Amino acid sequence: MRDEIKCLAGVEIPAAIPWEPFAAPVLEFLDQLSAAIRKESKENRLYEEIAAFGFWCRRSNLNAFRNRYEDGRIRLGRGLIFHIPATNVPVLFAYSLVIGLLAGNGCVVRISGRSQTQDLKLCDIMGALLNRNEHRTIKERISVFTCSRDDDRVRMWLEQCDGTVIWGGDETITSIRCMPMKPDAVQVMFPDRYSICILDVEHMKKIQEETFKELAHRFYRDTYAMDQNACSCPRFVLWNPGKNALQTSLIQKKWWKAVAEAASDYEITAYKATSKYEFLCSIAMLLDEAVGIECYENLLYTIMLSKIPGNVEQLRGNCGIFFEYAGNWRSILSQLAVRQLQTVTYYGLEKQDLTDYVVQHHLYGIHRVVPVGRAMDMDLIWDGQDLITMLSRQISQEG
Amino acid sequence: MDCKCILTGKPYALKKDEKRQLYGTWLTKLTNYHRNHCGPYARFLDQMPSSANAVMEEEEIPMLPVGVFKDMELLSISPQEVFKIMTSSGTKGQKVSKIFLDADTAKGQQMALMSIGEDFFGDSRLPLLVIDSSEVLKNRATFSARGAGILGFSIFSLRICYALDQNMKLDMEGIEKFLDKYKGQRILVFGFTYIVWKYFYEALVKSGKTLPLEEAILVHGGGWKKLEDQSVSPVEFKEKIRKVSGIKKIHNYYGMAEQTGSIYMECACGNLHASIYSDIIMRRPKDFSTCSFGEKGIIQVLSPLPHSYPGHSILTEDEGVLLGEDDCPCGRMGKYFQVTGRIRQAQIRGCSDTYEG
Repeated sequence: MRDEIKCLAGVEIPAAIPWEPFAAPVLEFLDQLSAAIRKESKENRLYEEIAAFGFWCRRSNLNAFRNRYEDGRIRLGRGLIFHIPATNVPVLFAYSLVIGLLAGNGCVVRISGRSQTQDLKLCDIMGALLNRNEHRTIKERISVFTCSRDDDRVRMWLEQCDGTVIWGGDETITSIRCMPMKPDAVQVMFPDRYSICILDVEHMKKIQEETFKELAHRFYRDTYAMDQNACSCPRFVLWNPGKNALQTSLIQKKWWKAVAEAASDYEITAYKATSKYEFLCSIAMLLDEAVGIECYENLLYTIMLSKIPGNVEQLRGNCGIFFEYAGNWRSILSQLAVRQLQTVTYYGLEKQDLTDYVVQHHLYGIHRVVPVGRAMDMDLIWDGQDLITMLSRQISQEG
Repeated sequence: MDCKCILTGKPYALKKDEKRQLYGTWLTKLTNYHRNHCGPYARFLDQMPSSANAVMEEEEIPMLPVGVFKDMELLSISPQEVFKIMTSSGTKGQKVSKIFLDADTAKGQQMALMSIGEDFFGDSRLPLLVIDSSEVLKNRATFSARGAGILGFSIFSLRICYALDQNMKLDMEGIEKFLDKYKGQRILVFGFTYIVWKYFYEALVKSGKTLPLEEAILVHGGGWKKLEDQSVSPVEFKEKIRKVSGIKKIHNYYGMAEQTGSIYMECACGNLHASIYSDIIMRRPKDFSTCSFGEKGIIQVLSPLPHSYPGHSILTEDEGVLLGEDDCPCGRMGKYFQVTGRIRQAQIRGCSDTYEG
């Protein structure tokens, strides 16, 4: 059955006129969008994801983004960017769209017919704002629509756009790459990734109960909030061990108990329970490196490893399944940093030490280093790519 | 009572306390047996926390998720002893379970089915009308739950007629000839729920014909999933089948390739019954604790029959509601329940599947 094609916000065929990045009308529109979301949030409780998006595109944050590019270089958008966001990440389409607009482009966004109610609600808010006369020029630069994945329209926009942003894994990317595009169209692709968290036992030993709990809560937000199934959700915890093994294991126990507590409102449906349990049993039977399994009801499963398996990026537990290993991070990290390793969240380590390590050891993976709690924060640099730079062109004037 | 003795006993005679005690003992023994004979199963027991103890209640027997039979070949016998490999009926593109039976386990499961059948249809062998094509048995590649079901039920009869030809078309001539021959006799009709609906009921409606099956008993199983999609309720199913065929006695059953033979038959009150060959426990998603009567949960099936493979305690992907034990108005002892359906494959969040839909 084919879904009908439906325009959810903006116009059907947007203008492909390059603008300078961070153009004033775009910033003005986004500021008002942020305000509209804040207002709507106050009146009717909005979805958390929409509220977070509204907060993200507030003026001060966008100004901070803009300041990063005030380097005297001359930039202009590319024209029209076609976005295909992941279906299962609520309001991801909006982040992608905003980044495209900020880079100075008109944007076509295809969202799935199955997409989340949050997405539709946000389209409503955005659509209403775009209909105001003052945002007429912005409206003409946006088209958010839904159609089935094999609709001709996907192929058509790919052929016509000046660049594309594809979220959603190796398979999607492969299928899109088979379709024709303009010779100079840029491709911003987000393939399958995995992420890890590094915790330092010595630091965790010293912190107050409340801070410990708060840290567990931040870890929960990094993982469970997205069913632990987004690229940047840690699936693996590397424990930088304390002075003795007993202390390390005590902190580990305390940590997982605190995480389970933080996750106590997370709903384990019959589907999640059976698929998690099946995953765990397969690991128990098949993964030689698995040496210690702990279950906190069906909310949280942990799997201690005796060494880092060769296919570590393929250990894909979700909805609260964590692999863990205790060992000095400086001797382990290179084994984990395969091409697919995207985000490292950390606590008790210095950011600088981590990034220095990546550079000095010439690591293939690790595209992002953020403190625990920031795994889901969207940035203009994502997955190792500067999106503003990729989605705009620089006009050189040397010599 | 030895585990093998149950095969000579009555299928719905055991009362609650006795059954629970026997199942605790039998399944504990069986768990140890499989630990000693199936390497991956031993690893499963060793790795999982709160796993097997020396003495276990029925509820404490570790359960294997049904999906692992799809990913792994689990045997507690040597490959030379494999007598038959049973596969589950996966829909296209899905992996299927592979269940390894030795002669003893196959025989035990067949006797269980026979005994359950006799309780419902009496012990005289009835002419059997199979609502399927004989091709299902000929083609070894598709020999699966469907073939196994037909073979299983064919033990009730020496006289079999296949109602569908090789193109799954209703063979009216063949059926009428068969019915003519056994006029006035009780007949057993067997088929998979969806096939009965699509190729028997709908074909009859289309042709405008009816069949004189007033004396027949229809047994059907295999799940409601496809009919649910067409919003056909069990009540509607029964009524409509009756209209075109006159069949008054219609029994659904719940069963699976991973525990063949020990099926759960629907009684005249519309409840599915656990026989002495198997038992059922409903589990809560949150922590797998056992549900109360009337509370929906994930279905776990237990049976002392699987010896050649570690399938004596399986967590299914179905949900159901336990309605009671030993007190169904039909008079059968044991737990009775309803299956509410397959667990919905809810979409989870995450970014690696974008392009869907």
